[in-house]
This record gives sequence, structure tokens and C-alpha cells, in this order.
Amino acid sequence: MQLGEFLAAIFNSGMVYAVMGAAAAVILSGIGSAIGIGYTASASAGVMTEDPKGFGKYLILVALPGTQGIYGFVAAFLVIMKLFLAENAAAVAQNITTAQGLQVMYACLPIAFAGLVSAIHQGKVVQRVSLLPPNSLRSLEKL
Amino acid sequence: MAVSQMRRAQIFAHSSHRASLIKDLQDMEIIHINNLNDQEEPTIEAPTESETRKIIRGIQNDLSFLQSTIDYLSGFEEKKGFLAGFLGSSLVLSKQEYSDISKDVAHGEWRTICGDCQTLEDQSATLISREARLRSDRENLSLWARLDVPIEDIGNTEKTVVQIGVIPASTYESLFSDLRESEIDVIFEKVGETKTEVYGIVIFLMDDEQEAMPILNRYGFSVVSLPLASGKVMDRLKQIDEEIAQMAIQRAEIAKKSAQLAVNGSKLMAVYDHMSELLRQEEIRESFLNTDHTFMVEGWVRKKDVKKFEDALAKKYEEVEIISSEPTADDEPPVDLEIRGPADPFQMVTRLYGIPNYREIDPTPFIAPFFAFFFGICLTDAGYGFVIALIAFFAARKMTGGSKNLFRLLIVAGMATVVVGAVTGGWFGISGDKLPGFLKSIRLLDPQGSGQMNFLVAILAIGFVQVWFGFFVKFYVDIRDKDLAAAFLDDLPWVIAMILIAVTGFLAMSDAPTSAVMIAVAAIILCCLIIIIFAGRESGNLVGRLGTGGFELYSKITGTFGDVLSYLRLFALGLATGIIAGVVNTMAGMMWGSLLGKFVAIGILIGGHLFNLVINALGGFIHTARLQFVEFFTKFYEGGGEEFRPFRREHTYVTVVDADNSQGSK
Repeated sequence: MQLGEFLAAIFNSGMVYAVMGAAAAVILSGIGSAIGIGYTASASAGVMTEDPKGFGKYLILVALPGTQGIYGFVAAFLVIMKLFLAENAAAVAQNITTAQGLQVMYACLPIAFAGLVSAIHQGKVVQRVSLLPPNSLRSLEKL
Repeated sequence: MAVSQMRRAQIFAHSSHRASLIKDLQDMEIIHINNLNDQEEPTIEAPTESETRKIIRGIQNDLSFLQSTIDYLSGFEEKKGFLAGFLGSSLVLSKQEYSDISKDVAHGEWRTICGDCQTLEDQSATLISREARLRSDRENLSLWARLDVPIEDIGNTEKTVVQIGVIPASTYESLFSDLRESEIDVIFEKVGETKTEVYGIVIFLMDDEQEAMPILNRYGFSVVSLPLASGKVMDRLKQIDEEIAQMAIQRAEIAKKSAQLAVNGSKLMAVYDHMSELLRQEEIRESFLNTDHTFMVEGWVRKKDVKKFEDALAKKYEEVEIISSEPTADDEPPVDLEIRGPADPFQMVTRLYGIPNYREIDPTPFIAPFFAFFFGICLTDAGYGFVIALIAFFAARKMTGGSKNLFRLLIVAGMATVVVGAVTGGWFGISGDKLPGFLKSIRLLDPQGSGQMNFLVAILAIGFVQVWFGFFVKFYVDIRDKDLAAAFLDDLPWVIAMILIAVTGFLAMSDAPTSAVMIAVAAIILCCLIIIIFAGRESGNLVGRLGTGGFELYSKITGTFGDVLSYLRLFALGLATGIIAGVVNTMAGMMWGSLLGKFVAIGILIGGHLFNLVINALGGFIHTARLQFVEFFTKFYEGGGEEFRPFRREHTYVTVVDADNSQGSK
């Protein structure tokens, strides 16, 4: 009975869902960036054994799929700012309803999942680009 | 602030002048020589050609000989300081010293040094491989150390078989129970054992060999031949130790001799550079066009150098003809960036992307202020800015070449970081309310506290400005290239529309009358209509034209939106730096207490902030550069020019300075 009350108290608070959304934004887009950078970095490391002078160029190429993780962080930060850091944060945190919490969560999901998938694909594309002949940084325009 | 103007120069001369003309051109360092034999089909080489090839190959062999010697000797040089080793400072010689060394090259003294080095290297390699062999012998023999019989005495007698060998420890016991059962007399004298194997001597009657051997083999017995010809194992082990000690002495001697030779290292470097010059002189011949008695050199000279170039050659040679001409529309002259000013170090960022082509503008002055400022936002900490600027300042003074530019860039970027940090109240991550009053008073924005939303909006506004500026530069470039239709119909409407969007935003937020907002919105729509109507003006039919125009407008809107949002990375990176800095301070604060705790806390502070500084400066550099390349350059910049590389002396090791200069500094 007590456990039931406890769970009800948690899941009736909108806060849980909102924070879940923020976490999902950081976690999923971060995973995407990690995998994407994995692709680009391994390709660049390979290319650099042939062309060590291109270090700066590949450094930029490797970092390209990092954007999604940053966006996820920004989205989560916006949520945290609204819920915890705003002037009336205490009131917001207490009064947020389940429906409102879910809304915040849904708002976080696009960057979470789109970030996850797009970072991986961007990583794969940049991996191909970094294997192109020198001066290929200009092919960034096509990304 | 631009790409230097180039003139094509063609030099015709008599073959007898070839060698001295090449040397003069190399000394002048003015002309970028084109390879005129590039497109030609490979033909059967003329005798003179193969002669050149032979010389080139000879020099290349000498160079690689020198290179290996220099590498070998560098192991014996006195250790440089950590910073000097890291920066790889090069050897500085005056002109006089350098030409003295070049004169010595002909005597071939360097060959003796290199030969000596090679002998030493070979000797030491032999010693190393012999030592390795001895060590492995010792390892094998040490298992048999208790074998107290001279090795030559172990062997078959008239009636018995005597063998030394090894049995797996796991089958050792069962072997003997088996042998006992089969009633064969086999003696195994254990000499040594490890966890997995038992070593010893096996003795049995020759008559039993047929039965004994299969059993022994079944249990994994294998005969061992020791790396020892005669004598006792113990004696041999002692002997090996002595030999190894002896070798250590020999190696120390070789190291000493090498260290003595290492004094010549700098001389060899100078010789190496001199030989590379000679190599370039020979190689460049292959770019010339030749007849039986004359040759032609073609290349590019900066417009401002043309006169100097012609005069210098005309004065020295009578039978030399120089023709200089404007580049034609089909030419792609090499590109020389001539910025001499505060934006100079930012050339390296442009170079990362690719230098402009000959007909483009150099974007370096445009990216310089943004780059420094954005780098500052990624750190938002005045303390870190000071540290970066200070380190970069001292590093830049010691450096030459490409890395000097990096540090000069970091000086500017570090100072920009100080400004941004002061405005946002970032001082080594100290929390806002603990800052001294003065620092608090210059803080305009607090991204770590209540000012986050303002910080975010400010970043978006900055991004909007740079994206707008990119479109504006495109407008300017189109006017410069006299493509007025593109300038006024494609570029200008969007440049104005973006201004109007910003104005509308301000009006909507302030208490401006609705009519003012309406007028602004109407103007925006007008601009958009111009784009829709005119962007597709090359298309023949009306539907295609409007379709192209509509798509153009659509991609301008979404592109601008996406580009501006991309600047949010600055917000995230700036916050992250501040948060990590705050965490470091908190961790140190928890340790602060006892004396030991204070030491630990100071360690955490220094290590933590240094880590945060390095990791975020790196991230800041990358993402700032990315914003320039992906969000800004795509608006107006192509790049892809070929760098202007005058035919010159290229040195790997030595920096030659003017004699006056070096005396002045002494």
C-alpha cells in the first residue's frame, strides 16, 4: 500500500516526466554524437597516417557530429532553466501537472531521437568525406 | 587585405646560363615556377634528362644518409628543456656561418662523420642482437643450472641411452607408474622443474629403446638440446653474465663516441639543408622547356616584384629575355595572401579551409573578430583568458613559422576571452556572489545564474549578425565582380529582409505602435517577393521561374534559421566551461581543512582548471572554426586556390638570419 502511494506520488508529479525528457535529450543525442564521432575519428586517424599535415582539417571534420549532443544539452538546459532556475522555480516545480510534465517530455523527444539518428548518419557521411582527396574540407558545404 | 596581383613571367635564356640562373632565381625567392613539362606525354628520356635524374638520385641518397645519421645522433644530444623539446626549436645560423658550412660540403667531411656514425650504429646493433641472443640462452640454461655434469659427458654409452629432456608436469607422475607396470628400467634424474614442466635426464638400456621411447613420447617427453657445446651449465651461465657485462661496457663506449660525434649534429643539419637546396636546383630543371641551345622558364611573380625581378636579371645577364604579361581569364595564378595587420595570425584558420582562389577576396579580416570573440564565448572565463594569452605570448616569442601564428592567434583570442569573461563574470569559476565588488560591477550578464536566458538570446543575436554579415559580404563580392543582377536581385533583398526581421523583433518587444510593425512586416514580404520573382530569372517559363524563386526563398529562410541556431553551441560550450570550473572549485573546497587537505585542494585546483582550460580551449577552437567554415564561408566563399610558393631555399633544420640581425640581438 505504501509502495503504491509512493509510486502514485511520483508519477502524478509532472516533474518526473519533464526531467525524463531533459535526460533523454542529453542521453540519446549524446549517444548519437559519440557513435558519429567514433566513425569520423577512426576514418580520420587512418587518413592522417597518409597525410599528417591535415591534422587541423580532420580535427574539424571529426567534431562535426558533435553538434547533436550540444543541441541535446541546450534543450535539456532550457528545461532545467524553466523548472529549477527561474525566479518562481519553486512554485513551478510544485504545481506542474502530469499533463504539463508530459508536454515538456514530448518537446524534448525530437532532439533526442533525431539527434541520435542524425549524428550517426552524419558520422558515416563525414567518414566518407574524410577519405576523399586533399582539399576536401570544401565538401563540407554539401553536408 | 587581399590576394596579391600576379604577373606571368617567361624567361628565355641560353643554356650556358642555366646553372647560375637557377641559383639566382633561388636566391631571389620571387618566382613561382610552373612545370611546363607537366602535360606532355612521357617520352624516351634525352641523355641530358637522364643525367639530371642521376644527379638527383645521388643527392637524394646523400640526403637519406644524412637524415639517418641526424636521427641517430639526436638520441645522444644533450636533453633540451621540456618546452624547447615540445616546440622543436630550430637551429639558428648567420648567413656567414651557413655559407661557410656550405663550402665544406664539397670536401666531403660530412661523409666521414656519417660513415663513422654508421659504423657505430652497426656495432651497437650487432651488440644488441648478440645480447638478446645471450639473454635468451641464459633463460633456457638457467632451468638446467643444477645439471652438474659437463655437457659433453651426457650422451649414449655402449649399452645405455642418455638423453636430456622435458616432461609436462601434469603427466610426470603417471608416466612413471606406467613405466613401472611395463617393467622397463628407465631412470629419470630430475634436474629442475617449473609449474608446468619437469626437466631432467632420462637413462635406459639401449635394448629397451623400442619400448621405452613410445611410452615417453606418449606422455609428452621431448628431447632438449641445450645451447651449450661443452662444459657445465653453471660455468656457462657465469660466462654469459660476464659477456653481457662486457657488452654493456662496449655499448657505453659506443654511446660515448656517438655523443662526441653528436657535437657535429648541427653541422650535419646545415649540410642537409644545403643539399636540399641543391636538390631543388636540380629538380626545377625538369620544369623548363629546352631546345638544343636555349631554355625557357615560366612562372608567376607578384606584380609589385616584377620591376625588381626584371632589373636584377637584366643587370646580370645580357642574353636573357624576360616577358611579363597579365594573367588571362583561363589562368589560375597561385595565391599569395598579403595581410599585414592584426588579422594576420587568423590566416591559419583560413588555411585550414583552403586559401582563396585568385579571383576571390581573402576572408581572413572578416573572420578574425568573430573568431576571437566566439572563442571567448566558448570559455567565458577571464581568468582562463589571461592564462591563455600569457602562455601564448611567451610561446609566440620563442617560435617561428606556422606554430608562431597559432600562438599569436591565441594571444588575441585570449584577450577576447578576458573581455567576454569580465562581461559575464567568469573568474576561474568563482561563483558570482563571492566576486569582489569591482568585478561584480563590470559584469553585465550572469550565464551561471539568472542571466541564462539573456545569454542565450545574446548568442542567437550574435549568430544572426554573423550570418547576416555573410550574406552582406556576398552582396559586396557580387558588386566587386560586376555581377550587379545577382547583387541587387539575389543578395540585397535578403540582406535587407534580415535587417527588417531584426527591427520587427525589436518593435514587437517594445511599445512601438502596431502600424510601425505592420510597415516592417510589409517590407519583409516585399523583399521576399523580389526573391521569388527574380531568383529564378534564368528559367525560361513562368512556372519554373516562380518555382525556383520560391524554393530559393524557402532555402534562404530555413538555411538562415538553421545557421543561427547552430550558434547555440557557443552557449552550451560557454556554460559547460563555467560549470566544470565551478565543480573543480567545489571539490577543492571540500578538501580544504587540514594541512594535507590544503595541499590536495591546491592540486585539485591547478590540475582541474588546467584540464578544463585545455579541453574547452580545444573544443572552443574546433567549434569556432566550424562556425566560420560551415555557417559563414558557405555564404560567399569558395577557396581552393593554389598557394604561391616562390622557388627558394627551403630549410628543414636551419634558420638562416642576416648577419646584421644576429649581431644586433647580441
